[in-house]
Amino acid sequence: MSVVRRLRAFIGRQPAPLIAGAVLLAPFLFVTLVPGILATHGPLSIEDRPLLGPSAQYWLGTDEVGRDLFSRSLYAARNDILVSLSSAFVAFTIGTIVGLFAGYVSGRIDTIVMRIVDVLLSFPTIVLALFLIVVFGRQQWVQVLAIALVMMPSMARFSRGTGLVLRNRGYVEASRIAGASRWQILRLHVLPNSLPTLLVAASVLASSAVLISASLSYLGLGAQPPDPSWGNMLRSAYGVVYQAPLYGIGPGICVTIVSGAYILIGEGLRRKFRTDRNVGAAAATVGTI
Amino acid sequence: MTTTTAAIDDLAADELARSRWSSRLLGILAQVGQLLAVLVAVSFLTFLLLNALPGSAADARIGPLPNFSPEDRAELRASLSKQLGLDKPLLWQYFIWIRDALSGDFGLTYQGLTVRTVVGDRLSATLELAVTSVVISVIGSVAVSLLAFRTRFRVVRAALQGVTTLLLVMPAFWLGLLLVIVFAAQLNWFPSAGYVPISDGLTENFKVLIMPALTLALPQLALFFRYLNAGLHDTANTSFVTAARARGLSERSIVYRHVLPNGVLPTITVVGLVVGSLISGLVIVESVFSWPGLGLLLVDSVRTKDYNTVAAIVLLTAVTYVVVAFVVDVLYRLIDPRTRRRT
Repeated sequence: MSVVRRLRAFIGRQPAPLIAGAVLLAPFLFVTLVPGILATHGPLSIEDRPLLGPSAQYWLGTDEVGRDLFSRSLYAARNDILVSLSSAFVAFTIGTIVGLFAGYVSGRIDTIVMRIVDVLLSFPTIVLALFLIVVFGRQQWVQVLAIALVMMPSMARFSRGTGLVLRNRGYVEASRIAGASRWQILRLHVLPNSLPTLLVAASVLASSAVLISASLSYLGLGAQPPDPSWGNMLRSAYGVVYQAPLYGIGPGICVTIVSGAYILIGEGLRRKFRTDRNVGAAAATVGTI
Repeated sequence: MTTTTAAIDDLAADELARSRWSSRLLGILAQVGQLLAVLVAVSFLTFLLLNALPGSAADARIGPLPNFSPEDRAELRASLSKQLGLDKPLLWQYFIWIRDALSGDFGLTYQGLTVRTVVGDRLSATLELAVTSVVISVIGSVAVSLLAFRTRFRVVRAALQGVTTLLLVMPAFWLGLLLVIVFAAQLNWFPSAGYVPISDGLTENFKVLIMPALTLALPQLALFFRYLNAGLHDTANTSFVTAARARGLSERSIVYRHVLPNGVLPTITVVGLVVGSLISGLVIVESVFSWPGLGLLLVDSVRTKDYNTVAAIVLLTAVTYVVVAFVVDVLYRLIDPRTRRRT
């Protein structure tokens, strides 16, 4: 079988939402890595008169100082994708480790961890992220950690649930009786078996991260001008909504596609791993509220 | 013979009822204890964050005061530090802070006003927006999910699913911008931003309220719809619904008297969570529409580094969240007897 046919067969086996999500996300990942190829202009270069409408030369028009909106929307992906993916990664890793451990050992440690999670959850996401950025500064790594920290508790709570379920499975018990250490059981049985459900939650986490990071830069606490981000471009769009109503279309559609693509990937993964619908519903709340 | 067994049964039932009551009471007491512990932890964390800020709390109270010489500032800082107890251990400082906070004293803002008056001034605008949006989203989501549940057309159902999913992945400020483009810039029905108090006329107030309220309400509506939809379908598959149908009840009364009351239960928790963390949405929506509420005040205070105000709002919202979550939990037990057995 040729490589192409095998690839086609592989793709054909994947659930439709997974393919749709990947197809929607791919151009943005591509643009994050090499923005210069698809962009028609530089992100910071002033090309023409300000607030021109869409034209053959400037596909989405120009912004308030005459930069190309299409190119800026593309270059913004670099900031938004980077921040959201890395914060989702940090939140996922730490949240999973803490949650699985707490759920698996249960008892007193579990109670303490879950009370800490309760406390962190009672700070509304955006508010806590805002506060953290004010305290520790507006650098990109602070944003990443702030977003990760506000999403971590819900991830921990979710993975704790799966740890709690797996703890009573026969193969875990058998392994315990055979004398495996706690760490071995966690690494060899609990983690691999909970990974499918956790990955579903991870994609929801990535989607929330996009929305939170865009919100922060909308509020002026993310990427700093003149660097483009979808949030700060949409903020500028409000200022000129009467002169250039179409200004915000590009960045707005970009955020929606990216955050939607992650959700689609999550739904695809859920179908692929044949996870319970209720698990999917529980995963859908991770990081959002 | 039969009377004795009946008496024993009665006794047993009595005993059971009593133990259930006492265990329920114990459960509630334990929960109140946990609630208090979480509240203390939340306030302590807020205090710690406030202390992690660059510059001391004395500086924060003094404010910029451009006319003061460095020497004057140092002197003022020293005396204020003593007055505020900044030379005392951290835990003691926390007690002073929380004691003042409990009596509503969060210190002064940079303009020299008390945080209490500034926050108090913004409360009514925020409450107006919050209440309106929650009313819209709750009523709207029930109506929409009933429509999706009862309709014979699959297209309608698919369309509702699609639109609500889209609303969930759109950031609020993008949804708000779309509303502004259509209803302010193109149709000119409503102003794009601003605030008119209710006292200046109901219609004028409604005109400025409707777009921010919708921007806040639509994503909530979508979220509630998802849970309601799942709840209604799960309930429709239970045996008591089949039994009701077998007894020959009309489809209408099955939906409204059996499916709906049971199907909304899981959503109540979600509504509580959303109401408790409404401030996250308010921060965005109020900035978008220049709505003079707590969310906008928070963003402005963050920008001007008015830390006392930030701390007050953060503490206020965190406490609201904890209390709302608690109330919802208790409410849920009252509504759904099945959950009581777990305690």
